[in-house]
This record gives sequence, C-alpha cells and structure tokens, in this order.
Amino acid sequence: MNDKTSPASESTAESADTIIAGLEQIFSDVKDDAVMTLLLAAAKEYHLQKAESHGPDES
Amino acid sequence: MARTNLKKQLSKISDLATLPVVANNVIQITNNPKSSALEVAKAISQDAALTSRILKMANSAMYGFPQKITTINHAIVILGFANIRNLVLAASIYDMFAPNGQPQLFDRVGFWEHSLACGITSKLLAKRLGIKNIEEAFIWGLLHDLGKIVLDTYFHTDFAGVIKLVEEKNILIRDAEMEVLGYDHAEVGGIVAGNWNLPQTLIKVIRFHHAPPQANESMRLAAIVHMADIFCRAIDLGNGGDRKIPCMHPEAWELLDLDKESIKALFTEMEQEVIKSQAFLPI
Ligand SMILES: [Fe+2]
Ligand SMILES: [Fe+2]
Repeated sequence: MNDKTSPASESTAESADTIIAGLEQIFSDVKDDAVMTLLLAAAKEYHLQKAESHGPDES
Repeated sequence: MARTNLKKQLSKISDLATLPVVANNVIQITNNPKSSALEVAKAISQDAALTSRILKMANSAMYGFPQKITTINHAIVILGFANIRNLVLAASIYDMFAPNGQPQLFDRVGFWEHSLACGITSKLLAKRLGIKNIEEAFIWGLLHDLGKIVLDTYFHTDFAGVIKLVEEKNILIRDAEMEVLGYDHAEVGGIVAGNWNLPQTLIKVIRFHHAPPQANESMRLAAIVHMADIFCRAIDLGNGGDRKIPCMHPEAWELLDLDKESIKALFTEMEQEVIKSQAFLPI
C-alpha cells in the first residue's frame, strides 16, 4: 500500500499548510453547507494537531 | 453513450464481468440456509491462493483474534458464514480489478485505498449506530464504488472521458459520469451486484450510497456508507477519482449528529484502523 493511507509517513512529509490548502480545495463547493463547514473545521484541526504531535522537523 | 443504451451496455457487462467460479459457488452455498460449514470450506479449498488469502485476512490485526486461525473450517467457526462469504467476495473482487502496475488514468491503488478506508469507517459508524453485525458494514463500504472499477475495466474509453472531464472541470466524478454517460457508478454497481446474486442489502447500499433515502428500508445502512465515503474524502484517505467532496445528506447526518470533537476522534480512529487492515489489500 502506498503512503496515502499510512498517515505516519505521508502526513509528516507533507506540510500542514499544504494539507490545509488541499482541504480548502476539496471543500470549495460546499462552503454554504453547515455540516460540511463543521467537517472542514474538524478536518483542519485534526491535521494541524497531527502535524504538531509529529514535531516541527518532520512536518 | 446515451442513457437509452444503458440496458444494452449493461447486459454486455453481465457477460464480461463474471465472478470467479469459487466466489460464485461460495455465494450460492451461503445463500442456502441449509448449507453446512463443511460445504463452504470445501468450496473455498478448491482455490489454494484464495484459501491462504482468507486465512491472512482472518488473522489480520483488524479482527485481533488472540489465537492464530490455521484452517478455513476454524475461520468459519470463529467468523461465521456471512463473514467468510464477505472475505471471499473481498478477495475475489479485489483480484478481478487489482492494480496491475500499468500507468492508468483512473488511480486503482487510490481507488482500493478509498474503498478499504470506507469499509473500515462504515464498520466504525455501524458500531456507533448499534447495528448488530458490524462486520457486514465492512463489505458495504469496501464495495460501495464497485461501479467505478467496472466502468474503468469494461467501458474504458467512455470512463476515460469521465476522468478527463473531472480533471478539466474539477467536478465530482458522479457529476461527470452523468454528463458523459447519462448514469452513474452507483447504478452500474447496483446492477452488477444484482447479476452476481450478492446479498440484497449489499446491492441496495451500493445502489444508493449517494442517495440514502431512496434505499427505503435499507436507508440507515446506505446512510452509513454515504457518511463513511464523505468522512474518508474529508481527510483524504485514498482516492475516489476526484478532488471534490459531496454534501452530506441531511437525513443521513441526523442519525449521527456528531460535534467537532467527536468527528476528530472518529478521524483518529479511522486512520488507526486503516493501518491495522493492510492484509485486506495486498497492493
Ligand atoms: Fe460513490
Ligand atoms: Fe466512494
């Protein structure tokens, strides 16, 4: 399996900024929807917290 | 390909897309309530590669059984008929449509990662919603996008047009399918699953994972997969063939109604479980 589903390898290699920018893109058409806005907020926080817990030199 | 051609095109699929003999036999045997475990074990044992795949899956960290399962008979006793049938289905359908290392327009590795993540997430959601056999939910999620891989395999040129449109317009794959083909992968998947005599619930979930209320009595189950698909896209697990996310159906969301912290906890659980399930996709 490639690293797409191996969070420990990909997410640490990719900067949190890049991930957040990607998320904004994915969610760009559903911003008027309350549930999707909540999901986007949760996904952003989730990725930021994960990047933090993996340490600055890896993210 | 016009909508009117759908029936004709799909009858072509039924001729082309046939399940491997062993999988077909196992479905028939498990569909008959009078069948015995021995019959199922005998059918699976016809295929040595499949047997070892099933054992590898049954021993994966996803189930976490303390004791090693060494025979199909033992696996049937521990996992039960329905789950063994699902493992046979998972392995056989994966083999039919496995990534072949060739560069492809449609990312098959990403497709199966998305499918596996959806299977795992469906299982987690089924548990939250108190569904009895949560293992069933795994196969719903794993096979929900069956139609996409069938289209890629048997209608390659048309499907290439779909993927091109997705890239050009940056739209949902389902919208591109409607524009190019006049029908979507959910419809195709439902028809193929029906041709294969898969369990009724599975057919319904595949058919209605983008429109759960239309699944009638299976609405809750289709909603589970619908939500799982969106959660997987939200944290980019695998690749469903596009870079967009569809809206959550309100009637589906009502079932869960999670707050932000619970969604984050679910994301963590999803990623942890995906790591435990690597045995399912030998990519
Ligand atoms: Fe889908
Ligand atoms: Fe999907």
